[in-house]
Amino acid sequence: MMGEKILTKYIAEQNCQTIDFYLAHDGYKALRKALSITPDAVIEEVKKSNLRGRGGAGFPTGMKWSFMPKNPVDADGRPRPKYLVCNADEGEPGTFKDRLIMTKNPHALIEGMVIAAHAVGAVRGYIYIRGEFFKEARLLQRAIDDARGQGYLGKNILGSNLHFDLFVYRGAGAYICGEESALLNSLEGKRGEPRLKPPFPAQVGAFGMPTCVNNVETFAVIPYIIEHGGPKFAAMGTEKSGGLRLFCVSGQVERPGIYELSMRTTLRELIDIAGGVRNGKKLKAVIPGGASAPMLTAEEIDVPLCFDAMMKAQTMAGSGGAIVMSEDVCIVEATSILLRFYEHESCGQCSQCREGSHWLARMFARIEAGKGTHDDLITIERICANMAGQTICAFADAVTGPALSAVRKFRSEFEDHIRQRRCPQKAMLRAPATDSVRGQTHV
Amino acid sequence: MCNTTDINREMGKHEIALNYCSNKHAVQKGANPAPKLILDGEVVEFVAGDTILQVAERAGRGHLIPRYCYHPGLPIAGTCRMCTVEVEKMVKLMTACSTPAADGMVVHTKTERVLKSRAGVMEFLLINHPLDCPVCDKAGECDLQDNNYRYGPVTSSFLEDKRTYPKAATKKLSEKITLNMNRCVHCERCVRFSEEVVKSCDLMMVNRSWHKELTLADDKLGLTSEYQGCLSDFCPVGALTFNDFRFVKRSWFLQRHPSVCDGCSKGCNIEVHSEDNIIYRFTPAYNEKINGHWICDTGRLSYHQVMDPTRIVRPMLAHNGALQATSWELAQAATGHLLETAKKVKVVIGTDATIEEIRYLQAALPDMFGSKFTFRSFNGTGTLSTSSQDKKLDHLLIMQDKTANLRGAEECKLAPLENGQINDSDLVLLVRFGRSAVPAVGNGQKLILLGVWNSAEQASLGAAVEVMLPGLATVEKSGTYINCDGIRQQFIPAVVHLGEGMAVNRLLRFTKK
Amino acid sequence: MAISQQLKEKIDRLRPNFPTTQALVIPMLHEVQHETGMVSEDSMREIAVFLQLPLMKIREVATFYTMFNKKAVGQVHYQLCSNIGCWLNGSDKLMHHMEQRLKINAGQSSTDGKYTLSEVECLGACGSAPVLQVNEDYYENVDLPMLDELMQSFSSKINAGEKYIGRETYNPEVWP
Repeated sequence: MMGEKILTKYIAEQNCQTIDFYLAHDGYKALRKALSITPDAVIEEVKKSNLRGRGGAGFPTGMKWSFMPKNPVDADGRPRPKYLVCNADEGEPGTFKDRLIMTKNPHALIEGMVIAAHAVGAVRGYIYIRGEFFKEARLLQRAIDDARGQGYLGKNILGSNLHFDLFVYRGAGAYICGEESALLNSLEGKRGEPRLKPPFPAQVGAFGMPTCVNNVETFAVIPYIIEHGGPKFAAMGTEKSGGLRLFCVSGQVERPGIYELSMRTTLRELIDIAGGVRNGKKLKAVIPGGASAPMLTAEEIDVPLCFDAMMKAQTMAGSGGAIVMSEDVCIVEATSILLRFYEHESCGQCSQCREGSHWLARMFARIEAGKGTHDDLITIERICANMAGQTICAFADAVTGPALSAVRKFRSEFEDHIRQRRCPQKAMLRAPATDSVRGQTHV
Repeated sequence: MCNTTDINREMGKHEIALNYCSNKHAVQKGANPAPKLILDGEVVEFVAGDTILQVAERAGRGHLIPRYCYHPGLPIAGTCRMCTVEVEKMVKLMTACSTPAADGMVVHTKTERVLKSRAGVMEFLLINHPLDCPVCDKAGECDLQDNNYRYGPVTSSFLEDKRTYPKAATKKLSEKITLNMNRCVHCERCVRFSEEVVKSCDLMMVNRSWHKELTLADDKLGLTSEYQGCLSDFCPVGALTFNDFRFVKRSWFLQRHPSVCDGCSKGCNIEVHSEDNIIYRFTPAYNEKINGHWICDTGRLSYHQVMDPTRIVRPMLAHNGALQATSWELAQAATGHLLETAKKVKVVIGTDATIEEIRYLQAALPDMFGSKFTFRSFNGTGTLSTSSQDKKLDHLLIMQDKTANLRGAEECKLAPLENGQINDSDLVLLVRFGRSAVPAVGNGQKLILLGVWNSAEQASLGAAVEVMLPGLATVEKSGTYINCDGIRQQFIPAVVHLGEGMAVNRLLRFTKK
Repeated sequence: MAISQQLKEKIDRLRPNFPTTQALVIPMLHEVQHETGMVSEDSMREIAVFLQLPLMKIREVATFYTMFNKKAVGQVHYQLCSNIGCWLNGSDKLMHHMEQRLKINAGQSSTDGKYTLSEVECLGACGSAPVLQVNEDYYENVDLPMLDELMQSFSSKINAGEKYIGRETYNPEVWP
């Protein structure tokens, strides 16, 4: 439907993941161009592109790169090496775009990282990939080996004085490691607990050295920006969010999957592109930017998928994963499932998050089981107010996003559960109920 | 709320630079030598590099900021989120423990927002806490209790089942420490202590999220450090309790007096906790130059020596070859007679005596009985006799010399006893206060014992003992010690001695009529 | 000895990739689990000795991350995603079916040690939900007939004594 594609142009073709295919389609051309200009010029180009981090926070990438110190030295005056880290710990429910890049277009990621290494002066890069991606890690490793074999990694890349090498590092099953400082701790072989900031990774990152952490998609679009210029990329998006983005659509739509679209696209258009709600059902709710984003109702989806518009709609563009729920879905149960996930994935450092995520999960499960009280809804509001913005990382805010939006926007469903002492949806649609909320008995 | 603009003007600041992360040096280089911030409307000077909490502590206002995970002797974690304060121009509440103070910062510790956040943390920490204060040893000195009294909610709306750890409800982590995991608030002070301070790495958190549980790193080894008592000191709740004190005394009955530990030459500062002059425990008292916040377990348990039931606390006289309790009058008369008639007296003073005691003996004895005395010191612990042989036994506090005042004895010009043997006099006055070893006494010499002895130590000297004059232990007297690093420490009595023991200057006073 | 010499050599080869030895903890735990199917208490001790780190550094990491099996799992480890994307596409029905067929509940292993059934959180493939991870491999867009077929094939693979069950990409023959 849309015109140009950046990352998904060739994914339907055979062997598109190989280096030969990549080279045959202008691969590593941008790297040559980047090496011919100064690091500052590269950063300038990225700034012009209005590229904002694709991991979820939407921080301007060019600005992040410019935070990296130029010639850092330690207390004894010795130079400190700089590191580049790619966040491929894709675990946000509803998001699955990085996996596609790593399996179908790994060399775009590698090329983007080498360009970034040139820009920020990094000597070494790590791709932190989630542990469950066995196949993807092996594919990526092979792509890196191929790139190294052809001189795109290693010493004196393409005859320049850039030395840069890449390593794959596998996580081991912790959602929180998607948070950049938790990821760095994990990379150092520690528990994946987010760090206090300041100091920020640009000062003290991986192994105590200045580090730049970016998402897979962010790195992967860099070659396009360098090759075609920042302004062209910027023009593809909105005023403040440049470029195309990989949007993931999952849940109850006809054609779930990944769509590379402009950030101008509205949520309604995205759902339509994905074929609309499955079986012609009515739309009930959408979680627009990965599970942590507050839900939107069917009336609220005429909003562009860029960071600022989403923020205005009191939700977030996040990682760009829309989860679509039809009229058949019990919002209480859906939220309860999300909260169970957060209860399981909290790192347990901060008091509010450790205890609050557990409390919320239990409370939602109880309401879903028909044992809630009207006071619970007031308590939920209070718990969320006490959690949001009070912890080291944004995890606690992520927990309160779905919980609060569900209670506020679908209050009648909660009240029905409480009044009828059972799940009305379940009673209507799938009698007898299966026990999908473990540890709880249904009435 | 204070008017910040006025105060800024007062401080002569035109611009407020809230430059947190960048560098401490910028503050130091500024025109004003000491940076200032405004804490609850009051201008407070601080040392560049301090965090807000440290600034408050230094200004004597640390009590305004409650905390669990923060401990001044441990690395900062910033996880309990109890110490949040409001900083003007910052969107979020900031943790006082981890936010570096900046010149011109305006900090509020009592705003509605802050109090709400604290109440929130308290509510979260209490939902899974057993609230078993009536049977908890920490009650009365529990941060959770105190903070809830001040900041916490009165009721809870938690209707779910509490998280419990059935296997760790009363788990002995070692002979010294018992864990009650149900009470834990996951501040991880203990983990950081074992990892960063004592470096024994014997405690750890397993699992994550709300399943997180404190366990031993190695069940086979248990706790291995020599500083386990500190775990119960700084545990903000009753999760880690010291077995020696467990179920012994409610903390609010205890009187607290400062003293110095005489367990080794380090001279750690302690607080003596007693009721009716019976000592129930020693806890560390902060001294930046000596022991920081910690003391070792040996020192902590050394109060047992003071309270030893076999300690001799009445004057005794030899009668038919056995020592028998007597009155001070008779004991003093006998001592006077012995000192008067002896030709050559050797006074062997343990290096656990105070400087005052040594000087008194050196001056008073020749003054009363003439110049027949030779004075020697005796240490006998850790196979050493001079302070140059003393050395650290670990990276923290414990020293090889197990007496408190070897350096002090040297200052009094007391020469060490040759070969640890006493055999060239007809009368020996052995003075020691429970720490220095008992020297070997050659045959044919009469003995007077003075100081702190228990019956076994006295018995080891055999029948030669003529008189036993009980003295006072460190916590019962005043005096001065010089520690291994040459630091002079004076102390006053922390408890009143419960026996008939007397200070050296009093018990020798009437020996000569 | 829970850890083979071969594995230790493999880890030694990784050393230059990282500035600290501690960074090798997770790769080593992965390798041990790959070799023995789990991360036992004994192997943690051996890792601590091999990497010259305190045991706590190994244990706290092994227990933080959910992928490391602290208990033995079956030859075939079914891990069905139960998070929202998969649940919206009927993963609860699949789980019910698997529980019935294997006669065990989620989180349990069969008594013969052949199967383990786990409910896991998001596997990062919501576009092809429901997703089932079997040992190392993903099976996507799973429905009941496909599930039956899969379970049948795994049971025959176990009976045939196959080497790389659920490790398609590791199999050197399939994935050179």
